[in-house]
Amino acid sequence: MIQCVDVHKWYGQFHALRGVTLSVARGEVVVVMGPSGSGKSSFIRTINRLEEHQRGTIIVDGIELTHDVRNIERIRSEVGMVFQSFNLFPHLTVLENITLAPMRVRKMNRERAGKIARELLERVRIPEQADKYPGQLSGGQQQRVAIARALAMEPKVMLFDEPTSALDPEMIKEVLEVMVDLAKSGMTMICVTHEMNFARNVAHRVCFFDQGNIVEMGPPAKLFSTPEHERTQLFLSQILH
Amino acid sequence: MNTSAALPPLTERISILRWLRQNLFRSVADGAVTVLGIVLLLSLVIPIVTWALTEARWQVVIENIRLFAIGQYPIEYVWRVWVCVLLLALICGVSWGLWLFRQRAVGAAILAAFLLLGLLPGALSIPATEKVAGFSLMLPSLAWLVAMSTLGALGYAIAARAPARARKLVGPAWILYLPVCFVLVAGLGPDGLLATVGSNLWGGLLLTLLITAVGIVASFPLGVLLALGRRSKLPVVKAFCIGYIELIRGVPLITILFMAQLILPLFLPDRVTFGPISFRPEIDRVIRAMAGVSLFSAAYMAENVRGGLQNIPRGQFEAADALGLTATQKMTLIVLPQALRMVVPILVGQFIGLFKDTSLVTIVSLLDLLGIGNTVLAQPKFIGTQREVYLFVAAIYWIFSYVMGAISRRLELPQSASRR
Repeated sequence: MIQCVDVHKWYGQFHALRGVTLSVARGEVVVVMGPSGSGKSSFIRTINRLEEHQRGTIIVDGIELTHDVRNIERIRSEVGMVFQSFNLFPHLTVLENITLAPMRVRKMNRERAGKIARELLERVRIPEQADKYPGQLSGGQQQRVAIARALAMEPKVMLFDEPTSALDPEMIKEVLEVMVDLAKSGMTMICVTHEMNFARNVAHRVCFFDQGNIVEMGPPAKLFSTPEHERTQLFLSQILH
Repeated sequence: MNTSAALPPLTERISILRWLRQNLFRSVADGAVTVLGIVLLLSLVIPIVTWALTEARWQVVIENIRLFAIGQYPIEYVWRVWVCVLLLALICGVSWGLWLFRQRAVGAAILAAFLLLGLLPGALSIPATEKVAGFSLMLPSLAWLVAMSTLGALGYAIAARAPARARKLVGPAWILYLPVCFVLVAGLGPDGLLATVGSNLWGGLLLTLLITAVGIVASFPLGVLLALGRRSKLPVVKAFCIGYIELIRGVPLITILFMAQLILPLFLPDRVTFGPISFRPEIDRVIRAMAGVSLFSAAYMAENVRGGLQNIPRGQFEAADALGLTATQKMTLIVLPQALRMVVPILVGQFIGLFKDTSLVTIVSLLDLLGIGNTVLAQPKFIGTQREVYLFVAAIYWIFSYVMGAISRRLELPQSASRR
């Protein structure tokens, strides 16, 4: 589904990604962990070209990411993304947030888009909030709307960029439940998150990032119990306390 | 504890005397300042009021009211101005019914502005020189007022009955309104119902409002484009926009108006020939003034809009990108609606400024409200009535500015409520 080979990225002089290579199969759930500044966010943001990579190749669903704007737009409409800070559109209602892209990008009519949006709100368990504005919802509800908004495009891949980091502990659970459902439904997912339980329960693979590259990768059970790399051991011992 | 809970809230217990003592006479010094203030105020207000009621020759305003309203606009075509006002009443009625039905204050403000509009041109479809009894003078204007309120109510009813259809029509109606008015006021052909009325005959409040409306409507899109251009990645576009904005902002409006009136004609060729067509290029003086005001205002508009654009968080752009929206969709659906909403108060402030700045066209000898004031003062009959005339003109400017401000304050409320 996704093939990244030798992806490099520089911010000015700073070498943020140093030859990341990762393939994700259809239906696979990959969790990306690592200390802050290790390049994990930059990496998943290169997959839908929110950040541009300067070397290497990224192929999503058979389309290579190049400078061609049409390729970028095609990939973006196949790849859903959920952000740390939700980034809902505050001037639109919840329903309008969800129907906007299907109507404008997929040219779906209003009735059909609205129907799909309501089904998605049902799925993220907040059908009663459809006509409110994002500012009237709690953080957890906003993040679930953001997930529904991304799903409305019927993406083949979902990217999660620290979806629970900006939430209060009690709201983390409701978002994670939705993500678990999604993972079990067979969605291809790449999640940057430090939620160990989520990783343990649904991830097929965990990648550990440090200094712009993947230093260790494996099934969660193995990686969490017997990490091989010294940096992984240090990191895990810190977040487990 | 129990007794204090039973008492009414503190504010209600304070009597007027106590309020006076607390706010105006708390100490000896406070008291002295209060007394001094009252004395000063009275010594200003009393002479002004006595003057206004006894000495002032308001006759100058009453006899020239038609000039103040529409300038030299031919009397037989005044109905065309009236049709503009009626159309506005209709569209306002519909809009009010659709969006503002809960907001009585806005309704009242709009009504006040209309009454003023009504009293001015119509009043006075009768030549100022004719001595007519008050009643017959008021009659046509009353008829127009009734027609106006009927249309306003009709619009409101339409909006209440068929909101869906009204919603579809009201946008285009607003967009078409100004061009239609322009055609009505300027006329189409050499004769007939819509005979051309040269812009040299437009004047007074009519001209002021026309220049303001065109200025606002033209400078708004231009300003938005300039603001977007200033943030563009294309170096030529960006350089042009920055150059334009900084150039215009560095020059006074009067200079631009003079350029438009005096220098522009020097650069136009005597005759332009395209094959068989040959004409003398001339741009109407009023149009030139409108263009000057619009171009001037656009530069300031651009800077204000840019302020709004800069306040849109990066996440909004990223979310729009991640959903696969095109660059144009991202701007028109996500970024601009939020940015413009943010700067509504600033933009209205700027519109009020523009409305008052139109008085500068007097200097290039257009007879707007202030210009008419000056010509009225030149009538031998009314020599020495500067105070009356300028007070009257100032009052009209104030009322319109106040209405604009009041409407914008009311408009801000529901938006902020919907956001947070």
